[in-house]
Amino acid sequence: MTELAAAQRNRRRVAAMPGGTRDRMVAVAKLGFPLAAIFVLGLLLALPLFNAQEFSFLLSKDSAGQANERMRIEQAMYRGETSDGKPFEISAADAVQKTSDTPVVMLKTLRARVQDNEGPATVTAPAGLYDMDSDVVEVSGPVKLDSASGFALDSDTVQVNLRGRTVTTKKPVTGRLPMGTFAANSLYADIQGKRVVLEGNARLRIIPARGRGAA
Amino acid sequence: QGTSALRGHDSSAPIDVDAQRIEVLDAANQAIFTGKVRVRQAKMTLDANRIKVSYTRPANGDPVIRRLDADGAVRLVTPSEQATGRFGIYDVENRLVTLVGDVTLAQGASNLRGNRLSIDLRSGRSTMDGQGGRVTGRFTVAPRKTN
Repeated sequence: MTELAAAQRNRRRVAAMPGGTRDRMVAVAKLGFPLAAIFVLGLLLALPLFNAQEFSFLLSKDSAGQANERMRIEQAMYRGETSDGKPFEISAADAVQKTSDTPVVMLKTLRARVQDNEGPATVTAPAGLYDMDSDVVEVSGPVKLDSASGFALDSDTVQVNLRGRTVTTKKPVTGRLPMGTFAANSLYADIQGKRVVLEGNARLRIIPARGRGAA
Repeated sequence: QGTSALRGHDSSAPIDVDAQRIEVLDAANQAIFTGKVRVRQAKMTLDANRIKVSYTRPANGDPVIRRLDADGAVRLVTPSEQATGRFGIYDVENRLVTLVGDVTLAQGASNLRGNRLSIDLRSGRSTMDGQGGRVTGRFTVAPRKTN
């Protein structure tokens, strides 16, 4: 055998002797390994506790942005049908429904239009409350109603029943009919002004056609 | 009888009607006024419990008032006379005002009673029929124009 092989075998024998490097390594490992295991386990448990830059969040109801209405529509358009099947539509620059249990929509700058064989009749007003169940719009502010037959009225608040195509107001009202101009404390009329009932200090100023009757 | 101040009355002057209730029935070309009704046209004032105004309306344009039928405590007041009756008819087209039923006419100093008073708005002439019961017999009620 060559000296090199003999030297290598000698080194191995020395290393394997009791108290040699191998025994020391094993002794260290015997103690170190379990300790390391415990340490790692401990680290594993303790780590989440004092992890400083925790970025998890808790959604708090009151600080979240609260929408104060159930539904808001810009350029809203409602379409429906009158009781005898004629179309009507309500358009508004702004429509807000406060809560879902009341079917009332607050409209801003609204225009309600009913189409029937006499032609269109439109109601415009700066604001109104539209009850979607009954199709009644309670319009307020200067209400203007113009219908094909020349029926027009100005009043503070008017209830416009689109399904029944009627207009009623308990507030003083002035207006125009084919027959002349009128004023009264209250009014009930169909939207085309075919039948108009005025009550309370009612006045009608008739401007007869010029001609035959002149002196 | 004297001539009424209504002579030359302009029947197409604006008519102002005040009432407690007005019902306009455009389809029937009628307007019914009830409750302390007062009609004013130029120098003429006509009061009654109820007045029905009949008109025709050309396609577009001012209405042509045809007649006013007044009933219940009818009172006609003009600068020259005051008359009352149960019914009153103002025939605008023919410019004739007629009061019928227990008619009284106070004109200047004279006070007349009769059954029928008619005032012609062109001439201003007012004639009373069936005066104080002295007129007997031929008492004809003007045929009510059914138009």
